[in-house]
Amino acid sequence: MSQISINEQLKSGKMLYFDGGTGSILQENGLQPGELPERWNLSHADFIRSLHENYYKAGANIVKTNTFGLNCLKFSEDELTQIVNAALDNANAAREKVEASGHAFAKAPHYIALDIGPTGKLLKPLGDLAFEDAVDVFKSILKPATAHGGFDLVLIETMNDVYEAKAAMLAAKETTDVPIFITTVYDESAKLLTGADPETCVALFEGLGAAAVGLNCSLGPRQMAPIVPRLVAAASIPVIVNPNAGLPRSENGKTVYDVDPDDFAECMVEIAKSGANIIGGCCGTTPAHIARMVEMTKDIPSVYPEPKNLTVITSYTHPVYFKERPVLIGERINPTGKKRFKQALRDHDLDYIMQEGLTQQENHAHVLDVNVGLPEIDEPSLLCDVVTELQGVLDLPLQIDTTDPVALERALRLYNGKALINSVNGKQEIMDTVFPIVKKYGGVVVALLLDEGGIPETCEERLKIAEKLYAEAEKYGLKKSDLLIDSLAMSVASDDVAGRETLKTVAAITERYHGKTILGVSNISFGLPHREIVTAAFFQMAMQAGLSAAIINPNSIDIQKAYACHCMLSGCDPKCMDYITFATENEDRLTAGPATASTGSGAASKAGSGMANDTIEFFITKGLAEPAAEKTKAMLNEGIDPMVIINDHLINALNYVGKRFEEKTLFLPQLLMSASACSSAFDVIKTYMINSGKQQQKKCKVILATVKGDIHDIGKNIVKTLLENYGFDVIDLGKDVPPETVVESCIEHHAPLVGLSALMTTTVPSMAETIKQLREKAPWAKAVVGGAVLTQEYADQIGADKYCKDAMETVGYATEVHEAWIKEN
Amino acid sequence: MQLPKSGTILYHRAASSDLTIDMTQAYRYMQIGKCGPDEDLKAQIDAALKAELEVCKPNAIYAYFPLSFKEDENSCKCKHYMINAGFTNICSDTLYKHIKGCDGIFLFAATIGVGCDRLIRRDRLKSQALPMIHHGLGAMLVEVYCDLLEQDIQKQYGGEGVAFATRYSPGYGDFSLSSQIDVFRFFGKAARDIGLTLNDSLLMQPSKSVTAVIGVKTSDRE
Repeated sequence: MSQISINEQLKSGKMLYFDGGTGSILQENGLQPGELPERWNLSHADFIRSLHENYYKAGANIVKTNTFGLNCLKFSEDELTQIVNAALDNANAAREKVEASGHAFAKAPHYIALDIGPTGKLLKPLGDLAFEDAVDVFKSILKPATAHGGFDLVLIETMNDVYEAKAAMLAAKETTDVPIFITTVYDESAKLLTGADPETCVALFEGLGAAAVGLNCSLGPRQMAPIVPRLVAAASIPVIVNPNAGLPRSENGKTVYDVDPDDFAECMVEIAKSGANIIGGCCGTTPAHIARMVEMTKDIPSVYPEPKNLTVITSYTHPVYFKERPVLIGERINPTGKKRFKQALRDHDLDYIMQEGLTQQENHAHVLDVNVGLPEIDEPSLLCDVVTELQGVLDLPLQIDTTDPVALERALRLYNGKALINSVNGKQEIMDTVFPIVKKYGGVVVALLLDEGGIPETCEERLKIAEKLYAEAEKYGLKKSDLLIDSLAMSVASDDVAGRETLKTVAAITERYHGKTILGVSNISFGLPHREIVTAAFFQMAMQAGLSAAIINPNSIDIQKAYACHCMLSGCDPKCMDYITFATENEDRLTAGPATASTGSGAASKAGSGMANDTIEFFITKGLAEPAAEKTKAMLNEGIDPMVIINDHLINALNYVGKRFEEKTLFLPQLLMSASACSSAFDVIKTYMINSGKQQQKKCKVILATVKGDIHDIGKNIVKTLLENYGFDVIDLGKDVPPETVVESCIEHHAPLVGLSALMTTTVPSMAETIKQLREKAPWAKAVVGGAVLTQEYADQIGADKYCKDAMETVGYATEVHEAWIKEN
Repeated sequence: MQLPKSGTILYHRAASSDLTIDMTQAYRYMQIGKCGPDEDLKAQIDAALKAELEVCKPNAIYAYFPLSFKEDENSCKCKHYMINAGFTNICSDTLYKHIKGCDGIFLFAATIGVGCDRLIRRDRLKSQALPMIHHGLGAMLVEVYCDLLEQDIQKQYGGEGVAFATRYSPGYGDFSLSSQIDVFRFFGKAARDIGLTLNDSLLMQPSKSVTAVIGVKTSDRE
């Protein structure tokens, strides 16, 4: 039967109905524990067909194919194809039968959703499934399904993690043209297990082009009800609500669900009234639940959502809206003018970059700009590494800042959220390249007001470029709200009216076009003395003119002052709470006179109180990172040789702490705090040496790994920290490392020492295998082992050169190996 | 109360405020000696605990199975016993010793979610001590959550004449870690529902998760 498309149907003002549970019904009908329900498409085809049929007859418009867990992780390619074909045939057979019958619902529109559930794996970095592998896992069902045909939409459902959901959406977009519906699982705090809130899900999935968005599973309808209005308020696409019939519980030896069809339908009436457009059920719901729900909600109109025109980006947890209150974008992850940062990029020193991110978050940046462009590096690959690492550590949305379209697309693809993109401009070639990427991955894009003719001098000329950008974006289906116009702050030192024209443009975009704006404010002061004063004043004026977002140094106290005052005085800071927090947190800096940048940790003020001693040894012993770094700077400024600081002070302090640790008068966390303090001192020395063009001498290379099958890496990390503090060049292979990887790395670096760690008895064989392979292929290397289950006896059995009971002992052994290695080389 | 139907998967949830915090246990995991942390360290640990509790999402699934034991028929490697645990057969003498006399087991999988793993990744940048503190706190939180789950199971299905053994996990003694494959095969979608996964090295992700069996003896029931 030809019927109108589901998208048109949704616009018709009539509620659409999903079917209910499948797995729970299969279990009641003999699905065995551990048996894969998808196999029933072949083994119990009649049962599956009649289940679909019963749902259509109950009034459902959309049935889900019985393919929830179907993917290549569990099924061979052949079986997968057979099952997906059978599943689609079963649903189509049911549809044909119902439509040929004289049943009351024979003429209702009937759709088939290709059902896709989660992979059952956790994505990297918290799990072991790489993002692109997840995309391929989803394609393993989408490809044969698309080749077979016979479905009207794809339903991605029961997603706990927006990252995995994004992989599924990309897989669907790249395989089929049918509409994609997506529902995620919330808990009672209205968050996904991995932390996203409803507004984040809506922004991210709408950005990726979902046709409808919603929630399913886990909660009953009553617990879901409060989440629905939040989805409705945020979404410009229809909202789906598919609750469970409560949760299963055991009652006198029988499994029952909490919510019966009458209760269920009653709650669904409220949900329908609160703005849901597509409703149905999940686990525990039956055709009886759906029939009752349809009966009670059929006269409630479904209002197709109005476009919300929100300018919004997200991280994996929360959205950032560009509204009245300006958004602060931290600019520090950028190599321009920063020697130490450039060196970190060349060395692939991601920890240094992460630290820059963390400090900016502590100083209240809302978004982080990420720019890793250096002429001599592989930008696409490094940008991906930095984005992956940042989003594994911080929950702030990122601004992907690159002029390389390959790097841009790759980073946007694996970004866990809806990104801010920096940038597009009025040049035709750039618009033709960037806008399609923005459309594909979703995002808000910074649009620079320059084109083939350069940067126009006057406001009116810049506005013409803005109009061109808006018009061109529309051709790709992007809205005005997807653009942040950057009217470009140029140095006032070289053009007297640079500030004025930029501010006029900001005001005009805001008032005339109701557009959103952004500025990299610090350019304005380029070439002037005391730049911070000029930058902060310009920032304040731009906010006054209506600026929506600023790319700034969040660590600057002048910027922080301007922002706190602006928000309070423009009515965006209820009860002055943010201003008061700012003033309290920064008491020292505000009264200290000249503005200085904070490095974040706040330990300095603590160290000041009641301190009898101000030596670097004292700070390290006490584990005070910031004072240790400051003291190191002071010593370097006094002209003390870096190697003297290391050998006469830092190592002494570490030895002292290590001794107390051995005497058990100080415990492991304190040893680590001292190690951290020592690391900050080392970092200061490293920066100093890079800036002065000196090379830091390192001791020999040491490979470290937690062996295959073991994820307990804390002991290994402690050893790493201490070894680095003692000057060793540590190559850390991480945890769960296969023997082959250890051996390859040892050969590649010709390392004289390999440290292996294991916590569980079950992984000791893996350690033995690693040593065996080392002996065969890298006979020069010594193997030192450690970890909770290891003993001298074990170590001897598996042929290790040395067993060390703790990190300090490992340092001692590494030093021996180093000295022998020096003699030999 | 009557035991659940064999193999039915049931859900358990708790709020972090339901957990009985056991700092002595946490300190032990952090290798802090008997005299406890000094003031500075304690302040750090308290702040870390606050962060942990904010992101801790305790969720579990469990199922009941009747149990039977069989002497070795040379079909398995262990010395004496093959345990038919309903969801799988287990060869383990140490598990046998632990649940000897029981006629059923509850199999469960519990997790406090990815929050702790995230904090470990983030706070590693702030201080080397913090990951260890978070490891200790996370391990304690998942253990006390398991305690709560055990208590709830005992409350619900216990009663006069019913006795429970304490929990015992794959990886203890000769109870092979490879049983995790069977545990996850059995729980299937339910494991995904609580966000729990098993990687190719048979390790659970999120890392602060526990699977275990609890023996139950109902034969003395009136």
